[in-house]
Order: sequence, then structure tokens, then C-alpha cells
Amino acid sequence: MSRLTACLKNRTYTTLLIGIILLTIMAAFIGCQKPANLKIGVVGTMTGPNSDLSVSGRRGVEMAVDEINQKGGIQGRIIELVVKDDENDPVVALKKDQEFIAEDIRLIIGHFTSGMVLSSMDYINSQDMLMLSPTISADSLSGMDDNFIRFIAPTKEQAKALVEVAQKLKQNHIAVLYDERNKGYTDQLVLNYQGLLKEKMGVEAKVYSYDSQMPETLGQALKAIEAEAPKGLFIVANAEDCARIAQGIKPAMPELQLYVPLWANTAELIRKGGVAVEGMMVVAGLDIGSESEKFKVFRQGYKERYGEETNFGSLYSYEAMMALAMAIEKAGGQQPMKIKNKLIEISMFEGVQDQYSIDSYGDNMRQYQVCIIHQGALRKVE
Amino acid sequence: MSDMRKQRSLKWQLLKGNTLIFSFLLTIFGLAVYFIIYTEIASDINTRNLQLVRIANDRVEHFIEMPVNMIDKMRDHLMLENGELNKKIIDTYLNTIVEVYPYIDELKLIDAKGDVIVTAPNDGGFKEVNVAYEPFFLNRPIGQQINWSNVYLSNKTYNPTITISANAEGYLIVGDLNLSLLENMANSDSNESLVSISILDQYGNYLTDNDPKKVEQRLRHPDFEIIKESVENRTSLVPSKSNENILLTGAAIGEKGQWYLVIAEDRTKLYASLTKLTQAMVGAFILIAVCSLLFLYLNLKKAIHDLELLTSNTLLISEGQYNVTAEANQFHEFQELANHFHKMAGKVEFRETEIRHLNENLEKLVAERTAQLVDTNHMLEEVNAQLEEVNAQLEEEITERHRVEEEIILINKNLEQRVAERTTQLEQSNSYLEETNAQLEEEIEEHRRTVQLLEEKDGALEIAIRVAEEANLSKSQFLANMSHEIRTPMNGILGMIDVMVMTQLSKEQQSYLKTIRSSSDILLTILNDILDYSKIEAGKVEIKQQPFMLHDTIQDIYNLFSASAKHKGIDFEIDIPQSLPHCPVGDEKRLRQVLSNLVGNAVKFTSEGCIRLTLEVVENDEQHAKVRFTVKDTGIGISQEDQLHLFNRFTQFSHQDGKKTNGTGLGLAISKMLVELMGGQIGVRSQIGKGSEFFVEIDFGLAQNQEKELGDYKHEKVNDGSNSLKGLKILVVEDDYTSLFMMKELLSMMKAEVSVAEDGLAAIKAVENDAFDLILMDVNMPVMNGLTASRKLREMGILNRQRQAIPIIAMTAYAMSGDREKCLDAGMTDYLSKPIELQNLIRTIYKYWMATSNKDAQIEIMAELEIASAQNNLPMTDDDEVQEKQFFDNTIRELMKASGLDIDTCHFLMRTYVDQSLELLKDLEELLSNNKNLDAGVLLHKLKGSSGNVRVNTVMELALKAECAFKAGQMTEVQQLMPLIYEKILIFDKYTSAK
Repeated sequence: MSRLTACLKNRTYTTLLIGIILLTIMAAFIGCQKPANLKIGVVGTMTGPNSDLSVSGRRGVEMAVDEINQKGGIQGRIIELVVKDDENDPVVALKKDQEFIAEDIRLIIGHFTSGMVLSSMDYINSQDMLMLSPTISADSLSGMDDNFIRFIAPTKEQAKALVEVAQKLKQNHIAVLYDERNKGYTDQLVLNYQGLLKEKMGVEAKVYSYDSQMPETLGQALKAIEAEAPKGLFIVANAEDCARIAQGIKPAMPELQLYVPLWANTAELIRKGGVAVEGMMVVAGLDIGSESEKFKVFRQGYKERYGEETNFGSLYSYEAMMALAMAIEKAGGQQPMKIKNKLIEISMFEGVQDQYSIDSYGDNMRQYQVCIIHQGALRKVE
Repeated sequence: MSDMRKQRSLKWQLLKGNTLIFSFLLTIFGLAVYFIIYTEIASDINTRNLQLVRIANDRVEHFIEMPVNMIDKMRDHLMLENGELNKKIIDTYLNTIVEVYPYIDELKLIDAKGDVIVTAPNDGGFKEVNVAYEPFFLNRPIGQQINWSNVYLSNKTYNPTITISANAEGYLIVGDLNLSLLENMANSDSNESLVSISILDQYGNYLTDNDPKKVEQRLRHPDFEIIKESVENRTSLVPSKSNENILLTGAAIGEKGQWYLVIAEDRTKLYASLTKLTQAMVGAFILIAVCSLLFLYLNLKKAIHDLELLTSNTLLISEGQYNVTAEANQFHEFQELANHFHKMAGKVEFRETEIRHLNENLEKLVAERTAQLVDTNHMLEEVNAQLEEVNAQLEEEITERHRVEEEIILINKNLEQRVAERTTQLEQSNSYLEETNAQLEEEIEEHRRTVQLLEEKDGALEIAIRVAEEANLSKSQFLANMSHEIRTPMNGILGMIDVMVMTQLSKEQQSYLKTIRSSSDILLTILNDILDYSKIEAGKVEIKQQPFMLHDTIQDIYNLFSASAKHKGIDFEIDIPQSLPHCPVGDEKRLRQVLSNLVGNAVKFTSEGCIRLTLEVVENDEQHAKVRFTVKDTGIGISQEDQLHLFNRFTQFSHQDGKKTNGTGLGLAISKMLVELMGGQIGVRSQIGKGSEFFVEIDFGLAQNQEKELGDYKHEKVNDGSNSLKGLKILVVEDDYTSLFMMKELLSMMKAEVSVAEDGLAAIKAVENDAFDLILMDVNMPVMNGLTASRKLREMGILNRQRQAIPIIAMTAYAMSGDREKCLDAGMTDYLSKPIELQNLIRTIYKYWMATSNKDAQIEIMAELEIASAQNNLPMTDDDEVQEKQFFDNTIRELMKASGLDIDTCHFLMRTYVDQSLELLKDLEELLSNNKNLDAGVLLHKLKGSSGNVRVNTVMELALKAECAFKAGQMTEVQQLMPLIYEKILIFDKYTSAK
């Protein structure tokens, strides 16, 4: 009797042992089959002039991806970034978008300048894809139900923020100077600014223009402004031009209050502007002196990683990637339309500095801030 | 257990052992070879990498050294120009340097303020450029130190650029260097396994790489963390995170070791020779293993064959075939073993024979032993028989036992039978009990019938009570009627007393008359109380819900009692809160009655101290306000026992000194009933000798439109903003000119279309000629009175403009009961008693005007009318002149209030009245002197009517007295009253002419 039990026991043990071994092998086998990486596209102007914004944007995305991957990725899948360079050429930009579709990459962060999407919007909307732009603020893209989601407020909001400041300063004589080379962007902003100035303060602003490729036109414009002698000047140009204009006009008109848009808000502005840009009002996408713990960590991390100061491009890109990850997680898959709907459904996002929202058109409604340059640094205007 | 162990096969054991040992040795050998070759390759790679690092370091140092040398030279040059800075020379000098050295993109000379003095090559920008916040200026070098910036993308060349800065004679030399010197680095070595050589800055950003895009795009090395770690740990050839096949070797380069050289190599290509060697070794290993195993197997097969032969021989021997011989074996060891077996078989055969002999002996011994055993068996059988006997005895005992058991069963049966009998007896007694029960139930039924009878009687009793109550009600009704009937002659008596006082009487007579007057007053009060009480009890009192001015009511109460209180030496104080609603909705008259009763009592029962009327708002919301009125006195107080009956009718309590008080004892009962009718409550707290506190709580509605308060009222026309009677066509039939004027004015003001007729006949003519919506008809008129005219109009079937029977509203000064019936019998629609109250008039007109009228406007008018009543509480003075004026003013105010007309119209109205009355008095005097008595009565009636209409009440009263006296035939009295009337009218004449 006992022998039989022992034998049976032996057999049970053996079966169990074999079972365990088999299971272990199977588990190891399954475990070895790592899930494929989740590919996410990043596209922007990565080389040449105008690449500053896209590069800092890409870096913001990289920061976010590293953070996500360190926590085990999204649903156990490691994120792999596929970066493409649109070379600041709309034709190349469209080609790169098509390349993404060919590679079956349908979630894309980019582009970073409006010129790169305006002509390929039809293509983007015709494809099963979702494009998340951290920095394109063109008003013409507002209020459309498309495959394009933005993480920056429309340009019109900049004009609003600046006019509010002018109102507070009670400046009733303001002129506008803009770069003709960038008409698509500058026109709308200038018109909005002029309109708001009229509406809110009843001030008619005279508009001057120059061609950044023809330096003599700038000289002429500045002379005309000196003659008009306004109290404020809104310069719609890139950082370097703004710095140059400030250096050019300040010695003659030391009391002139300068205003510049977000476009000009790069490290270059202060570096190149020197003392001439002191007191200049600058539209900002972030408050660099923010005491927000989250932002301080982000800023420190960015500096340690890239040796540079962070800017709104990198911050918004970081937030866009984080929002995308959150939407993928919540949607439980990576179908672009599902993710788009999730993003719209979530609607309120906890950003690094503050909350921001995305409306049903995928448009962002966050507030621009106005900063003043004081002793070579941007300070928030209270 | 030991035999359970599985026996091992010699063949497999040998094979296994051999293979293991063989493999082990071969593996050790293989690993040794592999390791030696691997070390060799690694050292080769290291040597080459070191060489690369050295080259890179040289390049970087060269890259650093060149500008440093250049700057030193520049410093010297600047020093030559010491003291005076020649811009032109410096400009030329710097431009030359930029042209000569291709790795310098730009040179700048900056002064201490950050202003740029010279830029080479000249960028065509603004002359006065300030760079105070450029990093190179913010972090200026100290002394002879040279500062190096991080690598950044130049906004002029868009190439990675480094800015160096150095001090020179108080100026700052700033140079932008491109990285072209480092660029060729990556292409310098062309090793097969080398994938790329890159230089990274301290943050991991590419400075150079085989792929220039990485630099252009300012990418950061994806494995920078791994590289940094490997440099710190001095490890090399670490696998890349993104591609396992790429091995990275990092090294710190540069002067301070802040940059990194990264060599990336292809693992497959790098270890190609090692892989080949491993493959060859594995091949050899397998070949050797297969051959040796085959050899071993063949040898073992032969040995096993020999062994098996031996085994089969052994089997034959064991079966007794001892003559087997050994066969030819291939191995001599086995041959020897076979020989030994053969010898062993011979010896075994011999021993077997010996054993057989021994066996035979043993069998013999066994047979003997068996015989002995048979004997023993017999003995045992005998013992067995004895045992069986004992057994039989035992069985007998068992039978006996069975018998006893049966007997017990029998006894048991008997017992059961007895139980059954007993049960039957019990059942019988049970049925007896049930019978008794039925009898009891019958008795209960009897009882119930008695109760029913009682209930029926009770019903009869209730009916009797109801009859009694009805009788009581009839009694109250009777009382009411009686009181009313008594009141009319009572008024006559009072009037006559007043008249009599004015005649020449002796002092004694006057004192008698005074007593009669006060007794009559008391009697009238009693009558009024009884009438009130009866009315309430008969349910004839309706509580009105109209907006009124509460403040005025309180003021009236104050005016009413302050004099008597003062007379008794008591203070009378009123406490009104701010939150008191100005215009609550309720029955002002009844409230006034209740409060007068309470305050009157307080005055009556208080001889010293004070009386305080306090108002409090207990609850308050948008539509209701609950107000508590408290009357507190310091009077004699009421005992606890008396408090219980205080509100019962006919209850009176004696003073402490036994003195009785005047009155019916109905006051508080009436108050209680009125308060309850108003939905409120009344109560008392009192202590003998200390005083009493009566309180009343009433929940008032609040008028929706309260904005128009007392102070805002400025004699505005009644219907400003409203066109309440617009479109209504009214015929006013009235012989009295004052009344007619007033009605016409009033109705026109209400935007009604008004036509007039002086008597019934004129009215009929007017109706024949025109269509009206409504007729207001005086009853007592010359030519044709109102009743006759109405009858005729109904006979004619006169319709209004809506083709419906025209409403005829009677206006009469006859205050007798039955007047209403007379009017209605004559075909009139409704009845208004003179003096006409504006409110009543409008309400009645609205009632019969079925057209679309604005009800809100109506309410507004009502409210305004109420407000108008708040006009007349001026203090009285002793001065006759002032008193006269006040009397006149009060009358005008009264008229304004009643008519809703403005002050000017009222003055005008009063003037008309005075003129008419003076003329009437003149006529009257003439008639009286001519003894044309009949007409005089008519004139007196007319005077009474018109005086009432304009609210000259004194004249109205005097005219009434005169009329009564006239009807009684007491002409002297009429004569006496005439001057009094004349005097009063003259006052009005004076003030109206003054106006």
C-alpha cells in the first residue's frame, strides 16, 4: 500500500516537475518576445537657419520620451522617435509627411512653423494620421475640425496680450514695423494688433515695413519712425532683426517702448540686443522665472542635457509628447482618430507651468504672457 | 529497497562516462584557445583605439592651441598700439587674420561697456552695437585666461561654432571658431570594423561625426550616458542601447578632458576572426566526438556478446545440465571466466547426490510423527461434546427471557386503553365548555344592541344640540337685528339730547341731561358691541383684504387714547420697529377695533405708570409679514384664574376694591373672535398688581406695489398712468349739483365719458337719444325719482353698447335696511350708499363693466386711495382760528381721500357746495317763514346729502337732526338748528373764498 502511494507520489512529483519546467521555458519564450517599439514621428526644420525652434522642440520631445521609456514606455512598449528634417521647404515637408505614412508612422509631433503645414493640410486631413504641433500658432488654422492639434494658442492672443499691456501703460501713440519677408505670419498679427488697438484704445497705429533681405529698406523705415516719433513700436520680426532694430533706433529714441512677438523671443534677442533691448516688452510662451517645481525640474534637466536654456518650443513639445502618451494610454491603442478624440475628450491638461486646454477643433487656449527685459533677463510683467 | 534500485547498463554507463570526460576536456581546451585569441583581438583593438584617441586629442589640442597662439599674438599687437587705439589699423589687422585662418569665422573687439569697436569681417550692421548680455561678455575671462564657449550653431554660418574670448588691454577680443579643423577626424582611419568616430561636447552634443547631419541637426549622442559611464569606469567596447551590434568606446579628450571621443565599431566585423575560429572548433569537436563514440560502441558490442554467452551457460547449469562446455571467446578475460564456471558445475553435481540421500531419511521420520497426531485428535473431539451440552442450557434461558418480554407488551396495551378512555372524558367536558361560551357570546350581543340604542339616542342628542345651536344663532341674528333696530332710535335720542343741550336749561336739567347723554353713550357702545358680537357669531362679518397704512392706524390709536391717558396721568408710548411693513394687506378697520379695545382696556385699568404698545415683525418674507402687537400696562392685573375666562363673552372682573367697570364684557371676546377671523392669535400674560400684557399676532399679506409710500403721495391725480375707465360711457343721474359735479369730475378723470341728467325724466330722455354702458342713479330726486326711472328704463328694455341689459347702480342717502331690496325690485342692478366712497364706486363700476379693463391699474388705484387716507393727524390746538382752519383742512383732506380728486378740484368743489348751500339755506329760511313745510323737508334732505358728499360731516349731522325734528313736526328745533348750520357753512365760505 505504502509503496503504491510512494509510487503515485513520485509520479505526481515528476509530472509537476515537468510541468514547471515546461511552463518556465514557455514563460521565458514569451518573455523573450519583447513587444515591438512604438514609433512616433518628429518632423521640423532641423538644419539651417530657422532650425532653432524645431531643434529645441525635438529636444523637448526627447526629454519626454526618455522620461516615459524610463517608466517602462506606453503599455509596455518602448517609444522610438523617428526624426525627419523638412529643411524649411514646404515641398520637402509634404514629402516627409508622405514618408511617415509609407513607414506606417501615423502619430507625428511637428511641424514647428506654419509655412510647413499650410500647403500640406489637405494631405494631412486625407490620411489616417494625427499631427500634433507644439508651436504653430497661425490664426488661419483655427476653428477647423482637422487631423491637426496644437499646443500653442493662436497668434491673435499675442496681439491681445500686447494691447492689454499698452492699455495699462496708457500709450496712445504706437507704430508698427514688420518684416515683409514673412508676410503669412506678420500680416495677420499686424492686422489683429491694429484692430485691437483701435477697438480697445481708439488708437490708429501707423504701419511701417521693411525687407529683411534688403538692409537699406530697414534704414529707411527707421528714419520714418524717428520722424513720426511714436511712444511705442511693435516690431514683428525675428529675434535677430528685433535686436538689430533695437540697437539701431534706441540711441536716437531712448524713451521709445518696444514690443516684440513670441517669434522674437529667443536667447538671441537678448544676446544680440545688449543694452538696447532693455525694457523691451516681449510676448512669452512661458515664465522663465516661474517658481513652479515641475518647471524648475524641467529647466534644470534641459540645461544639464543640452547645455542650453529651455524655451517655449521645448516646453510645449515636451507637453505635446506627454499629452500624446496620455491619450495613447487612455485610448488603449494608437489609432490616430481614437487618440484625437481622446485628446479632445480630456480637454484640460496639467502642463509644466500651468493648465492648458484643447477645444473640440484641436485648438489650444493657453495664455500668452508678456515679459520685460531687465538686466539682460526676461521678467514677467505683473 | 536496495533491490529496487535500477540496475545500470554497463554499455550505456561506459558510453556516458567516456563522452562526459571527453567533452569536458575538449571544452576546456576550446575555451582556452578562444580566450587567448579574444585577448589578442581586444588588445589589438585597444591599441588601435588608443592611437585614435591620441590622434583625436592631438587634433583637439591643435584646434585649441592655434587660436590661443593667435590671441596671444593679437594681444601683443594691441599692446603695440597701447594708449591709443587706432580703429582702422585694428580693423585691417583683424580682417587679415580672418582671411588667413579658415577656422576663424569672425573676430570682434569689445570695450568694457560691451560696445563693439571692430567686427571682422564687417557685417554691415549697425555701428553702435552693444553685446553686454552675450554670454562671452557676461562671463568675461580673468587676467590672461582664455574662455571657451559651448558649441552652438552660428546664426551667420549655421555651422557649429565655438566662441573664445580673451582680455587685451582692457578690451575683449572675441573670436568665433568653426570646427573645420576637427572635421577630417572621422575620415582619418579606414578600418573595416569602424562605423564612426565622433567628438561630443560635455553635454553629449555632436561636434564632429562621419554623418555631418548629426552635427547640423545639433543631435545629442543617444548613448551619451553609457559613454560617460564607460569613460569613468575605464571600460571599452560597450554595446549601444539602440543597436546591440554596435560597440562603443569612449575617451575624454581636450585640454581639460571635457570633450569625448566616441569610436563606434561593428561587433560582427570586429570579432569576425574569433567567430571563424569558434566555428572551426565546434566542427572539430563534433567530428572527434562522433568517431570516438563509434569506436567505443563497436568494442563494447563484442564484450557484451561474450558476457551474454556466459550468462546463457550459467542458465543451463542452473537447470542441471552440468556438461556444458565453454565456447570460443574473443576476449581472454571472458575465456578464463568460462573455465571457472565449468569447474564449479562438477562440484555442484556431487553435492546434489548427497542431498537426495538425506531427504529420504527425513520422510520416514515424518510418517511416525503423523500417527502420534491422530491420537491427540480423538481426545479433542470428546471435550467438544461436553461444550455442546452447556450450549443447550444457555438456549433455554434465552427462551424464558422472550416470554417475560411478551408479558410486558401485554401490560403496555392495557395502559393505552386507559389513556383512550380518559381522552373521551376530557372531550365531553370540552363540549360543555363550548356551550357555555356560546351563551356568553349571546350576552355580549345583547350588550352590543344596548350600546347601539344608546348611540341612536346620542344622535338624537346631537340633533338637539344642533337645533339649540341654530337657536343660538337665530338668537344672535335676532340680537343683531334688534341692536340695529335699537341703534336707529338711539341715534335719534342722542341727536335730540345734543339739541336739547343747546336750549336754555337750568343747571339741574343740564346735569340730568349730561347723565342721560353719558348713559346713552354707554348704551350705544353696548349696542355696538352686541351688534358686533352677534354679527361675528352669525358669521356676517367678512374680513376684508385690502392694503392699508399700518403706521397711520397706529397713529390713530395713539391720537385716540393719548388724551385720555394723559388725563389719567399715565404715559402712553408706542414702539414701532424699522422693519414694519408700510402697506400690509388686511382688514384695517377690524385691526383698529381690536387694538382700540386692548389699549382702551389698558387705559381703563391703569391708574399710574405707563402703557406701551409695541409692534414687532415676527416673521417676514416677500409676501407675508407676521406682526405682533403687544399692549403692556402697569395696571391692576388679572389673576391666573380670571385669565382662563378672560376671552369668554360677558366676562367682567371686579377691581380689587370691588368696583365694577362699565361695558358689556364683550370687548375681549369680540377681539378674540376678530383676531381669529383674521387668522391670528391673541393672548395675555398678567400678574395681579403688576400689570397685564396682551398680545396679538396677525399674519398680513404684503401689497405687491409698496413703492408708493406716504411721503411720496403728493395729491396726484388718481389715475395717473392708468386709463382704467377709458372707453366707458356713463350716465350720472343726480339732482344735487355738488354731488353731480363731483361725480362728473371724478369719472372724467378716470377717462370715462360722462353724461349727466338732473332727474329721472331727463335720464330717460338721455338714454333714448344715446347709448351708455352704465347708469349711476340717485334715488331721491324731484320730477321722477330713481326707482320710477329705473322701472321705466327696464320696461323700455334699454341695453348697453354691448347689447346687454344696462347696469343701473343706485346711489342713496337712505341708510335704512330694505333700501337695497327696494332698489333691486325697481330693476336696479346694484346699490351704493351715500356718502359715496370713491373706492366703492370704482369697485362697483368695475364689477359691471365687462369690457377689457386693466385690473392691475384698478388695484393700483385702490392702493393709492388707501394711501390718501394717511393725511390727517395734525395735533389740535386751543386757538379757535387755528382750530377752524384745521377743521376746514381736515374736511378737505377727508374729501380728497374719499374722492381721489386733487386739492384744487376739492377746493373748487367745496366752493360750489358752499354757494349752493347758502342759496339753499336762503330758500329754506324763506320756506320756513312761509310755512311751506313739505318743500323744506326736501331741502333739508338735499342739504344733508350734499354735505355728506363733500364730507362736511358737522353740517350733515345738523341737517339730519333738523330733518328728523322737521319730520317730528318740531319746527322750533329746526329753527334753532338753522343758525348752527349757517355758522358752519360760513367757515367753509371763509376758507374757500380765501382760496
